Amino acid sequence: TNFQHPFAITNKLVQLNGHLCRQLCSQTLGLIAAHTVVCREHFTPELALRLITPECSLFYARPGESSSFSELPFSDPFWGFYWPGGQALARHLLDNPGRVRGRRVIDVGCGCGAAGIAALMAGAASVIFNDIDQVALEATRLNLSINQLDHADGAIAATGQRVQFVSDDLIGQWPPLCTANEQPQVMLIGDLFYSEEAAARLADWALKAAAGGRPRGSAAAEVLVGDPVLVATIFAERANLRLLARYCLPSEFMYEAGPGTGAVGVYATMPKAADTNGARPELGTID
Amino acid sequence: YIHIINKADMAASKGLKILVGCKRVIDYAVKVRVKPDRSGVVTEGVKHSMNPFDEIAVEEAVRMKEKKLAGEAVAISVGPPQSQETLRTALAMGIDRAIHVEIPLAQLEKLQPIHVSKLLAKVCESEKPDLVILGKQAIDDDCNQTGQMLAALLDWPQATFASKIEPSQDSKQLRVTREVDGGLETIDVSVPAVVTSDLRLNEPRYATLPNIMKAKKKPLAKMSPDQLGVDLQPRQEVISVEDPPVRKAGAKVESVEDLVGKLREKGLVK
Repeated sequence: TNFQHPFAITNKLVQLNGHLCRQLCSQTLGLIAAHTVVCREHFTPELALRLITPECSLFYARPGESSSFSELPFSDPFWGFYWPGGQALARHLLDNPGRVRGRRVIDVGCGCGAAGIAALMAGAASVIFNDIDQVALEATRLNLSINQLDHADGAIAATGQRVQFVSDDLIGQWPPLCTANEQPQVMLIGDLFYSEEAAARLADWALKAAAGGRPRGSAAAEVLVGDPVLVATIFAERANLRLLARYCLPSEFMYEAGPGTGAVGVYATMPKAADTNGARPELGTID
Repeated sequence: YIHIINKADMAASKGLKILVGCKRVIDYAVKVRVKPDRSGVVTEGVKHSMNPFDEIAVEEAVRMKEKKLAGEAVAISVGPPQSQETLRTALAMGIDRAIHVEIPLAQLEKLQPIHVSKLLAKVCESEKPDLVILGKQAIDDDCNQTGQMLAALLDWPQATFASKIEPSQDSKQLRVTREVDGGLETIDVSVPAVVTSDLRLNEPRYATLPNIMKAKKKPLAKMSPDQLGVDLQPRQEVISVEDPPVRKAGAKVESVEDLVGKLREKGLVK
């Protein structure tokens, strides 16, 4: 069943980040809080994220036979997990803040919002959180809050950085939003290269974004992709991506059974010959 | 496409390609009821799940991948639209991609191992697996035929009732330990081969939500029996399905003499 964004506001006691707060919050936020725990056990412990961990009963939910997720309070809670590509992206941004500092960023398929939140922590001027799942945007709002990035009227109260939440499917369009001043300068794509079909769409979009879209003078953007190495490598050439950094994540951070580690890469679009302004990209392997 | 070239290169260097058969059956814990018209059992509204022996087959394929003996594991199910749920479970356990051969409802009840084995044989022609692992039998019909028939159709060796699968001493074949009436029998089979799984082969893992979420993004291809050119004409007709006779209560005796006496009474001993 598709989760309808509830407009009913209920007065609930919600435990947020260890503090009991009585606040007006939507039904969704309450449900997200009820089914997740605040977790720092991942590749970016600087970020506290509300995730579905083995401590949560939802972790062991089995899809019913009649419909995929009839037993779950949400359909497809991808936002409840911190996928490896997003972890590598966020790690890279926290370690290389120059890549986004002062720039306008868009986090595509943001899920729990980690990559965008890392961009804010690295000093981005603004972040557009984009996910077609409304619940993911709610989870992102919650995660901003627990990382002391509370916002009101589209701006982070403490720093003045701007935030926006968009649920449209933006893949394929460049520029993604109308206003020229608002066009993102950096596009973050974590864990979306999951199938040939999806990867093909994204590869073509990345090329468009890097080229600057229609000859309207819309600016080019740098596209940063985080994905397990084997998957994205296949489309790297088509999307004109180069490997920026390679991380080794323990298998439990990758939601894989068995011991060992997995390789996750952060890729970036290669700049056109003319676009040599800005920071020189750092190349290297990080274990 | 660059990606196709890369994938072929990767597959070649990375071990066996395994095809695993999964059947959607009435869940083992359900109390099965015979339909009033005795034409079959009640399936509507009843909980279904993957045949337990097929779960073991899926688990083995995934373990072979983890041990780097296998490179790619593909799951296949022949059945109604709901068989996709069964395939999603296989994907959640670690299978790479799935194939669903959809059978129209009208032909579903009359589907027999002979048809399934023919459909699988056709898929093997295009998929070219090195190893096919099937559950030894389905818990709904207990036929124990599909694996054997498939091997015969493909003219491949078969190793049925497997309790262990490992590389042979020279690593060129598979060494399979089989559960037979007299105990255990170990044979070496060359690949490609058909293996059927028995109970003690392994204990299947429980797929958790992150795995189920990941599985939603894995490819699931659909095929029809027509596309595969297989005729589903039934070869058998089910006359009736009945409950087993109610067990009559036994009698308890106090001593051996009593027992002999009772047996004499019934004319069973002189």
